[in-house]
Amino acid sequence: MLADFSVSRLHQRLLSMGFTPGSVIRVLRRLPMNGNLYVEIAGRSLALRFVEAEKITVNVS
Amino acid sequence: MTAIALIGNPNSGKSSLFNILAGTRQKVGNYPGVTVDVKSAKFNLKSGETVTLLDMPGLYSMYPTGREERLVVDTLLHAGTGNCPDAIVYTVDASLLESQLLLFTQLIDLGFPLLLVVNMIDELEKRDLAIDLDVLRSRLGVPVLAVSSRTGENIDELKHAILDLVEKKQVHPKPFYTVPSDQINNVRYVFFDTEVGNEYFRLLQMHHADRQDKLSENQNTRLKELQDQETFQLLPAQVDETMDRAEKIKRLLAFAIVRGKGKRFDSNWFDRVLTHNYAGPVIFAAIMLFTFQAIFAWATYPMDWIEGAFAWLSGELTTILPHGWFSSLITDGLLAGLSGVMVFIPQIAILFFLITILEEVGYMARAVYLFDRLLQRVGMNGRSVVALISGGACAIPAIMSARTIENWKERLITIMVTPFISCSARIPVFALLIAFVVPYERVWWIFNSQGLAFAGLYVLGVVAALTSAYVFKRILKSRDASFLLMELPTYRWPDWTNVWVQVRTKVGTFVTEAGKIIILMSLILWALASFGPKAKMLAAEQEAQLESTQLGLTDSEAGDLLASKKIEASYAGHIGKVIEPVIRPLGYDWKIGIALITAFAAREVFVGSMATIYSVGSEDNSLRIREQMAKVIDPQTGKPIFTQATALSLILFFLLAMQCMSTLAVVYKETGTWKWPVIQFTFMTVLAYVVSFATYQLMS
Repeated sequence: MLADFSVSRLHQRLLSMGFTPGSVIRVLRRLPMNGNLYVEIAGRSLALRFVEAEKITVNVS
Repeated sequence: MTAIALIGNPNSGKSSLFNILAGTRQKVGNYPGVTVDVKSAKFNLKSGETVTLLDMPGLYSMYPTGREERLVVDTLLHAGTGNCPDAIVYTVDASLLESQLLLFTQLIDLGFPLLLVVNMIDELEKRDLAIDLDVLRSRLGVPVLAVSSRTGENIDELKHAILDLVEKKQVHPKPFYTVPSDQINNVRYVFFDTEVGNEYFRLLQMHHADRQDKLSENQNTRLKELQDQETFQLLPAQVDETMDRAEKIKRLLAFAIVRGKGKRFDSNWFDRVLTHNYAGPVIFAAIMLFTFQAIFAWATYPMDWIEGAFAWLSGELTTILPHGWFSSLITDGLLAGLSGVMVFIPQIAILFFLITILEEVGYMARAVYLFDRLLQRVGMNGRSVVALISGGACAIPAIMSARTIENWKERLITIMVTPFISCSARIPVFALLIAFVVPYERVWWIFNSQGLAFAGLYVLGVVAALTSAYVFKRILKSRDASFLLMELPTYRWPDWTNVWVQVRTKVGTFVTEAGKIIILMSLILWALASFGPKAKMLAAEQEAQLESTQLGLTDSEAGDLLASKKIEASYAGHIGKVIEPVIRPLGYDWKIGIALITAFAAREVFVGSMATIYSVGSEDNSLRIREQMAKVIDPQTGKPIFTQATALSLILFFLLAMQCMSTLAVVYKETGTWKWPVIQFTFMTVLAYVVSFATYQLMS
């Protein structure tokens, strides 16, 4: 469950792509050594970098 | 004339819908000043009215981060482009309704007449979902239509709905999002002296004030004032608005989406293999191998036909036209240039056919995901993958495809290094020279040594591209943040109309961008090679005649000898001799020098020039040119010119040097200044010189 993220330009982009607080994120795949992540949010599959993912705070369930 | 824009998130099936409505009559063009492709088509309504249908780039929100997205926002706030649509058809992927409505609600608030098209309705069942369209209609207050661009479901109704939209221009009665009172105060403060648009429209103009000149000087001063006082802050305001909208959409859709109890549809089965940590790259390599194999295997036949047709035409014209410079201009100048353009069309078409299929089915996004890390290390972006692969056909459309990279530095580096990838024009040159470097041998039954050497040259091109990218990364400074954050679309069958339009566009780009320069250069080079100082040309003719009679040559042999003597005496020959001291350390004589100069029109011209210089005649036979080349003796050393060292040095020169005027012209267009093509030319050519020099000196 997405809780928060730090404010930046990335923030706006994440928001417009459906990363709103309270939405459920599933991490489907990860590339090795802190590589890119393949996640699903609101039915949409997205690729994001490890550093981008680091900006997102989640509650693990 | 009425203009209707198709707008929606990326991957919402916008283009497929556009293709169904417009057919293949669509035009792909650029907006003035921006290098973003916008497709348009004239479209006849049943009422007889003609409307222009625009297929805009996909975007997620009115607060965009990408260049293409900004174009759409600028257009909708009609800043400068003058292409602002009168009505909007908004498409959503039915399965992703919730996440794709954000932009739609913003468009409602801007006061556009809207039609909501819920696309790909046929895929809902697989996901065990249903959408109550009536609820959607009443809650959103706009016409809603469910269609499937794949099965053609409801397409006639869509045409009716568009007719309705154009006639009624029905606008949503009340805004979806209530602009908070403090923001309203801000808007009123800045815009108290005008009455343009509604409050939300003005608010957006304030958000995008830095990119637009819509605000007057006084308005700008007041806006600055508010920002300095921190009463108007862009990002927090945008975040608040987006959150508010997302919340409202969620509540609204709770009534409209009916979820079944069945199992979730899982489209990620493919991805377990295709994006696997180890299997993924292997599969990618296999796909690339197949792609390039396909080019070699399939393109040969049409290429032979094209060359054959031009040879025939050239032969016919020579007999019809009176013998002289005019006939030579038409056959050796114009037709040779045309043939040099046309002969690449099969390879370029096949490669872009395969690349477009990979893009259409959704595989390319996975390749971007896989290689983003590697490319990021050398200063590029995962999206550079598309440009680098396309570079295998022709650098010109490849460089244009780098437009999808949002970060300027990453895009620039991609543009700078893409020409290192071995394009189709290098193939004939490599094919001619490789036999001097590697003798033909069978390796492990199925491969042969020369084929492997060929593959090695491709790999070398990639290595050169990645290494130089790293160098540029170190030198260039960048302010922009780099993003990947990218949607991985659901795997889908390709839309064949789209494939066809794409291939047609890329081939068209090549023909218009490269074609005119190649033909112009062919004409200039023809003049340089046909004319020379009068006395010398005359002497060359007499010398050739004398030698022919002494040696008792046949007519055609005598003709070849004459051509060879004449090119030596021509201006091109002079230039060749002038540059000889420069290229001598690389192992080249002035004859190769002439061929190198002519190769600046297009690399493959080298082969034809070598044929003329070594008086093999006009029949383009690599085998004979090669035999002839092997016989050439260097008068200074008494040894053959074409040793392994010279041939390898030449191959590496062609691999690395920037010898394509058309590419430089396109780099100028894409970057907007001559600075980058000049740097690119210098960098690549100096690198080629140094590498060829080292190779020749070490090997001989």
